[in-house]
Amino acid sequence: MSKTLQLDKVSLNIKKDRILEDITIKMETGKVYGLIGRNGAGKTSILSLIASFRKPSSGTLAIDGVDLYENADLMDKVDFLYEVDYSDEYDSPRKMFEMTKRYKEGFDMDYALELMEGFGADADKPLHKMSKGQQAATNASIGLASNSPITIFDEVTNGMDAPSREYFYKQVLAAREKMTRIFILSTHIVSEMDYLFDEVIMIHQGRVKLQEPLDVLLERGFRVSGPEEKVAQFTDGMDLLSTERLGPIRSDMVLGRLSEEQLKEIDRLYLDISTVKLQDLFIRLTEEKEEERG
Amino acid sequence: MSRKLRLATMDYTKEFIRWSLWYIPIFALVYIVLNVFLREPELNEMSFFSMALSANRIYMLVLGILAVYTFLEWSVNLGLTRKIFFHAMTTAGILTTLFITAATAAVSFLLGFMPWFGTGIPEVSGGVETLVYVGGYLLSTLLYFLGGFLISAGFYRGFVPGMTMVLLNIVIMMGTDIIWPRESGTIGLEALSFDTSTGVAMMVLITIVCLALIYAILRYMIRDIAVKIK
Repeated sequence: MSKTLQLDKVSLNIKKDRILEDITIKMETGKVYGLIGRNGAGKTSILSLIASFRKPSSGTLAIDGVDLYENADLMDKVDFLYEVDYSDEYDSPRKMFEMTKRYKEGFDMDYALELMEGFGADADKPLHKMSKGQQAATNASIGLASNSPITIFDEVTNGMDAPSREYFYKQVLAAREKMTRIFILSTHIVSEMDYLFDEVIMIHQGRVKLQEPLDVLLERGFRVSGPEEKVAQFTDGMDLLSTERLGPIRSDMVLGRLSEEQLKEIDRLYLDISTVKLQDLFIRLTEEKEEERG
Repeated sequence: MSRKLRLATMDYTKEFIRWSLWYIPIFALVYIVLNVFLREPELNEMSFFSMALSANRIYMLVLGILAVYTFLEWSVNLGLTRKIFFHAMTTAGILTTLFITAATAAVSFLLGFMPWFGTGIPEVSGGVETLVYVGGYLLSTLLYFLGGFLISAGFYRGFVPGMTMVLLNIVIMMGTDIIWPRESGTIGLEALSFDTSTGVAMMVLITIVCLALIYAILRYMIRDIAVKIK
């Protein structure tokens, strides 16, 4: 059983462009990792390295300390699912499952067919005749049923309707319970998926901005709401991520942790306090960097 | 041979043979139509096999060109290393070359029973010469497949490597075409001919050296090739 996936000081250059720089990430089996970042941040490049689609320009990438690239014993332990154009694919999902089973012995054929049924997609229909959502469901089914120790879903829900996405999220949690494996979910729809994540890896401009457990990350900030003047008074001098107003009510999102005194102050001022959402934190944290750059 | 290498070789070969089962009947149909409607003695004497030997090379060149674009992403995604992909693909190329040569020979044998079609290879007089002639074509067909595979790997890496591989292929293919005296009675190079065993050995040796050269360049090109996500 593969226990850890480690990227150590990994960099990637494509022609003269530096795509990734000094990426150090550690992932452990049994966890779901959310890989988030803005467009062009380097998420898919990191996933391509993990799937051995590319060779790192420098640094190491290993499963349980053994180098992964071109290692015949390890490469089939990684499953990389991403949006594929199936407009020229005449095979059916069932045929694809059979082919996957030939190369990946852990692939659970019955479960894959059960998943297709759950998605409401016909496993015997040629892929080119399927809708985008059904094609995405095929990819999702392959990934979930592969039982690979490392399973990567890169924007795999693109094209799925809301019920299908919801079904997929439930199945990710069920698959994690069924067997200890590493799931890496890369997505733009952070607000829908955040509850799946055990840890969040935020990528920004080709670097790892942070890797933290979700609960720890969400404690990095808080939202305080109440009458305009009182909120302004409380957040004066704090690291404000955003301010929203609705009539006389003001809501400030603040980066930082609350001290005991500040909690007492909030009680005294009758202000409301709540946690920030991952999506808000992600937007603000990556915006902040852009402002610095500008 | 490892399990994965065996599986990949089987799957690539199966797919190539499936395509070949379209190519061979279509080409046979073209041959039949030409022979029925055209009254050219040179054409009418030529057997299907004789005509197919040359066409098979172009067909295998096309298969080679499709190799990387059709199978690389699929293979790496299933956990195959580039090394396995390379060895499985070259083996599939050899097996497909043998298959289409045997299949076209079989079709030609059947057509030979009908009065409208030729039965021989006009360029050679028969016996050992025919064996050498067909063997030369087999090597050349394999060379075309590897050449196509090389072009495919080149363009997959980028435009400049692709064009470089096209030029390299032109040189190697022209070179091997010159040394093999395929036109009736003529000899490509004075020192090389079907008439002497030394000449034949030299021709085979030069072709094998060309094959080895392409094989080595291909291995280098495939070794760290990046799989592109569409």
